[in-house]
Amino acid sequence: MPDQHLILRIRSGQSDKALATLYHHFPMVRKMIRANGGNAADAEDIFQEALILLVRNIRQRDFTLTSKLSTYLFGICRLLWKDELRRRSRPIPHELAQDPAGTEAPPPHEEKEQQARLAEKALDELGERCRELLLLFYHAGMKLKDIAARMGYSAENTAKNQKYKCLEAAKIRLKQLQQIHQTL
Amino acid sequence: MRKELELIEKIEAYLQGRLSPAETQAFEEQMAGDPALQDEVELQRQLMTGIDRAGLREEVAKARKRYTIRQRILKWGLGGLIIAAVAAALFYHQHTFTPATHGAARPVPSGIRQLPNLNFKPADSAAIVSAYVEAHGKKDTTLQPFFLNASRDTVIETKKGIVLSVAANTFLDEDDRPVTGMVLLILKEALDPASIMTAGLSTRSGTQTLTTGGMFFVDARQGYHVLHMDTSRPIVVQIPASGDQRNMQLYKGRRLPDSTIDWVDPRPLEHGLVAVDPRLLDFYPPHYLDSLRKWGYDRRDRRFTDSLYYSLAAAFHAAPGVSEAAPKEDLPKDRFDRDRDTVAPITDASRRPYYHPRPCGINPAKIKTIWAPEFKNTLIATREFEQRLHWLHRAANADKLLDLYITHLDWNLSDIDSLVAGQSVGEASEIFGYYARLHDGKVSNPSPQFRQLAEYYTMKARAYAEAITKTENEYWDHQAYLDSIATGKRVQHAADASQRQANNYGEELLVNLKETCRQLGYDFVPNPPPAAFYTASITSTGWYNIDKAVKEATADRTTLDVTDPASGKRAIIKYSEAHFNIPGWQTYDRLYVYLLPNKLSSFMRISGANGKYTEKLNELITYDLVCIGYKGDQPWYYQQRNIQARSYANIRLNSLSPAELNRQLNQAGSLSQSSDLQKENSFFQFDIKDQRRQQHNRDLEALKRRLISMLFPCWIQNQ
Repeated sequence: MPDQHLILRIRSGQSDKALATLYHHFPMVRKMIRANGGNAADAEDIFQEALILLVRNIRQRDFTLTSKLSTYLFGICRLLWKDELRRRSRPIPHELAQDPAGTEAPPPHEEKEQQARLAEKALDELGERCRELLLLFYHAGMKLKDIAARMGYSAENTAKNQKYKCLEAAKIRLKQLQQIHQTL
Repeated sequence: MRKELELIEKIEAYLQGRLSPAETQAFEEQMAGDPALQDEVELQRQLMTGIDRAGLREEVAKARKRYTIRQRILKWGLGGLIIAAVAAALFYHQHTFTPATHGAARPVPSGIRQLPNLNFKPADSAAIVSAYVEAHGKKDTTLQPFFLNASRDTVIETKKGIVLSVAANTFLDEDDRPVTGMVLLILKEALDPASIMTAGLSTRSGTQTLTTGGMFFVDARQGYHVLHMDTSRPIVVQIPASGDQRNMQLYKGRRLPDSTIDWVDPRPLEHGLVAVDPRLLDFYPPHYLDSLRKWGYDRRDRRFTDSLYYSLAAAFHAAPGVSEAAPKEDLPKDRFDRDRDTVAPITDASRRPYYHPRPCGINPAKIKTIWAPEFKNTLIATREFEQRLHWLHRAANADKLLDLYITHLDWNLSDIDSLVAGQSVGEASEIFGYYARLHDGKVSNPSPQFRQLAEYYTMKARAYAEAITKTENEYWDHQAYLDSIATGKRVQHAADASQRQANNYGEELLVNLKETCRQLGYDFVPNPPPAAFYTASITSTGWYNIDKAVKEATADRTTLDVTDPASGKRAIIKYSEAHFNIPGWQTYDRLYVYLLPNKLSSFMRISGANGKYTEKLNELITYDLVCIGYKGDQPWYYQQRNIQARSYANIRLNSLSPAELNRQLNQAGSLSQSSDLQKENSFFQFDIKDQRRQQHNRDLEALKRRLISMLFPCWIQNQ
């Protein structure tokens, strides 16, 4: 699938299909990470994180692609792996230290990513039903009426109310997590 | 909607740009002056990002799954799905595996070896096996094929003793739909170093060398379709353990391009739990059975120990959460046996509530609920839970902590332990922390109905609490009713006795008067109430004196010796003592001695003590002697006619049946006497039972008080 098609799909909310295609770049990333002190599980984690960042970047209005999408993705993986090695206080291999030309992935905003990860954690701790409800509404863009039918709520309004209650609970948990994170 | 929720809605509209320009401006102005609102907006913005990331992560995971399946099919052809692992099982040998299944699969006979037919039909199982074996090299005889019905729970045991418990609908097709029909499961095992080496398996994870407890490989096929697993229905695998089992972990095998396997993704192993028959477990509080035995009760009488313990649930009646009315049919059948325990009065209902109104500890109704067949095959019916319950009984918030186990039946036991440790304090926190570190898993229950069970528990515990309380109340209400009946009978009996004495006195007085008149030469005219009166003046006092003397003699039962002042005649009626001596009187619980006077309508009960009874006999009357004794419910009887005024030293009673006693009493004395005796005897029989009933109730209350102070010590401390 040409890169432009992939970008269009991601922007039109069909990121699942685009992701399945992009996953074929995984072996390349795994090889790079193995060669630089990581194992296959590290590669999996880094690659998945990179895919998330990629999709989020593509959705930004000011996103313009000046290289191949795979190169861009690979660039993100390199950056993420470097960060991870730093976090683990491990030496950065020479190969990674210099960014080759054509890798134009912007460095991920560390603090924002950290916040987003905390938010994700808060969501995970929320309980399966709340998580599902919020994901269906905000991520999958499903209508409240359909959500109510799918999740067994008596009415659309019940689902709506429940949605806000879940958000409230998530906010409270996120606030706690942030406090814990700040004190660490 | 609450104020807080409205704010969330407003912020959401702002973040999504759904506010009008004017509203947006107003909201931003409001934010500028309100740092707290700014924080709220920022928090919600981050949360939206988090939700988006979580959604993307799920999509990425799906993409990975599709990619992996595709890669496997491409790479190995038929050599598909690996769920292989390096493991050391910590299923102890004494725990024999209980198959929670219906049809166990059987290995396909090893003789099946056909040439692979490229056009085989999916249903042609033998051909598939052959093709599979072919694809793995002809010499690989270590593959073990099993066929199982995908819609049924199945337990498989390999040649080397690995046991796999496969739940129904575990296997999914490419579209994530559960497959139906027969599924081919290919297993390969390498549990000892020799078989690991001959199978060409490595023991490396990245750059590290692993100490292996064994490896196995699982592949599932239907026709030539590679199946994958529903991750919510893991296959529970038990691997025979040997050597050092500490720190063993489960690794997943990842095939490398050079066809070696890298072991990745280590996970701690779970202790699988083995459910046993709930009746083999002891869910009573600590020391309950021991104490009963010490106090002289039969601890093996499960009917008794159960009903006694469960009856304490009535004390929890006011406890929160168990107050709704129970359906009538839930009344337990196994409470105290009312017919067997004929019990006592004196207890009036008002002095019944001997419990303190602030209960603590576990409500016995909850124990009754979980100690039931419904919970077999859950973690409740395990030795491991039994150990924890022992400590739960002692915990201050035991009731709540127990609920945690019931509402998380599908969790690993150790995870619930952590939860419990977090919610308890002091010793309990330490104990459950220790349990949490044991990594106890769960019962392999392929078709869990855990949610329903948790609901069942809530409903049933409440129903039992209600029913026990109701039964308990009914029991004591009934006792109060029996008390009132007994009191009535006693009053009636006392009234009958005094009436009998009065009648006897009147009749004997008449006998004596007649005889006195005869001896003095008067005509005796019994004086019925006259229809009319004559009035006359009295000229003599004699008659009145005689009358008075006879009355006194009759009342005191002393010899009458009176001389008529008018005629000088003398009248004598002798009263002489008879003595009755009953040897072995101590052996009787009750002993009654009666004289049946032939000229009186009722009997006389003779007073006495220590086996010695004395009465003065009227010479005008002949008497029969009747003795009735009771040892427990067993009656004893003696009768002798025509008693003389002398000493009867050796009266020995004979035992007889209650019916025989009735017959004897029917024949004793006159008709009215025998009827009175029957009445007296039946009262005593009632009284014997009723005294026992009373004693039973007193014992019961004492026992319960004793139990409560022992089983619910925190309760006592509260008082």
